[in-house]
Amino acid sequence: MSAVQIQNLSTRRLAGLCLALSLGFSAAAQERYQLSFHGIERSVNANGNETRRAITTRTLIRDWSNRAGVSNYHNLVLAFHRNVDSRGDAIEVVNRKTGEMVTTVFPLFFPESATSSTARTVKQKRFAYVYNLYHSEFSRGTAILNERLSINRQGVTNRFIVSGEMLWYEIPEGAKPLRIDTGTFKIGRKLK
Amino acid sequence: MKLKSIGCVVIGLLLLPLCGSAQSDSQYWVLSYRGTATSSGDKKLATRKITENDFIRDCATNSGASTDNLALVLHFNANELGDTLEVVNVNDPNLFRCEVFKLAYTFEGSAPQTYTNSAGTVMKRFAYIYSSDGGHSRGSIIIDRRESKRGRNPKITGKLQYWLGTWDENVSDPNAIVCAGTFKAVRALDLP
Repeated sequence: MSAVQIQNLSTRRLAGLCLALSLGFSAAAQERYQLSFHGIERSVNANGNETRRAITTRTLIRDWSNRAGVSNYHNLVLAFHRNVDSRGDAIEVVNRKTGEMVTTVFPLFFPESATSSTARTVKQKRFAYVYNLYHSEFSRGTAILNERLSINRQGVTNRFIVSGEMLWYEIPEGAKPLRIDTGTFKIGRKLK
Repeated sequence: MKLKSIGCVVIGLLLLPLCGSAQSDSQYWVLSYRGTATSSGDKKLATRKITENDFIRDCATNSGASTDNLALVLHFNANELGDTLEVVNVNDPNLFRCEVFKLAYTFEGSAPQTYTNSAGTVMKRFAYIYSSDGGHSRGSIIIDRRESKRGRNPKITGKLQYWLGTWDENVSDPNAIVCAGTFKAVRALDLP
């Protein structure tokens, strides 16, 4: 196995990612849940010392909205977008009042799942590849999600719960050096 | 080589930490592993605990070998792509070596996903996990190495997420096994 093989294969899996997610899928049928995130970003500063920075729901909203050219964070929340397309889910910044999608933070694509189901419940342990739309040549991390879907007697979903853990990195950009990150998240209420 | 050894002994009488640091140059570290593997089940997910003994037993069974003297090790800079997780004979890895995962943190055209502080006492690394069945990433790992101030062995820990099953470019494996785990180095493998 050569290094080139690794890159080529990883790249192929991601064909069309940028297009699909950047062209505003907010008009499509939505199933989004408010999400809270806690993590740690580690790096080395200009003095050569290791740094540690908390990653929170708020910092993700701020950082990724800024990248998208949005500086007014009023009403912005993190959302878990279930089945954003056939490739999987995504964590997004959305306006909770208007439902408008501001930017995609983490596509969680190409899931591989272990599943158990009864007439009323579906449980999944789900592995997914984490992408970064600004550097989408190949995945930049992974996530493991614990999902539980409850179905009522009419066969309609009445509860959906997800929690997850992520490992990922961010490549150097401008003055920002390589950052290696870990984090956990869980979802709350469904967004309208 | 002889001079180095003698130097270490003589200096060691006065300054033990320096001799201790020679041990931390080892490329092989025996690991203790704690994790889970989750597969599909009828009414509930089937989750089993995984330890280093599971990797050792699998490697031995596949090779028709005894598990005597075998250990799970982290092999730093094992190849041009990065590190490996291996099961080896602790007396001599050339007697038995079973590669569990390639841990690729550097490859052609990509900067290494690793940083070291200026003092050289902290190293953190993100790597893609590759199994022996091809060039597709199966997951990710973050390795953390911190040198001891007292000249003892460094503290080496890791966190992994990966999946096992049949790779298909377009379809998820219905029998995927989703795995997560952590490890810590318990000792360096002192080789002749």
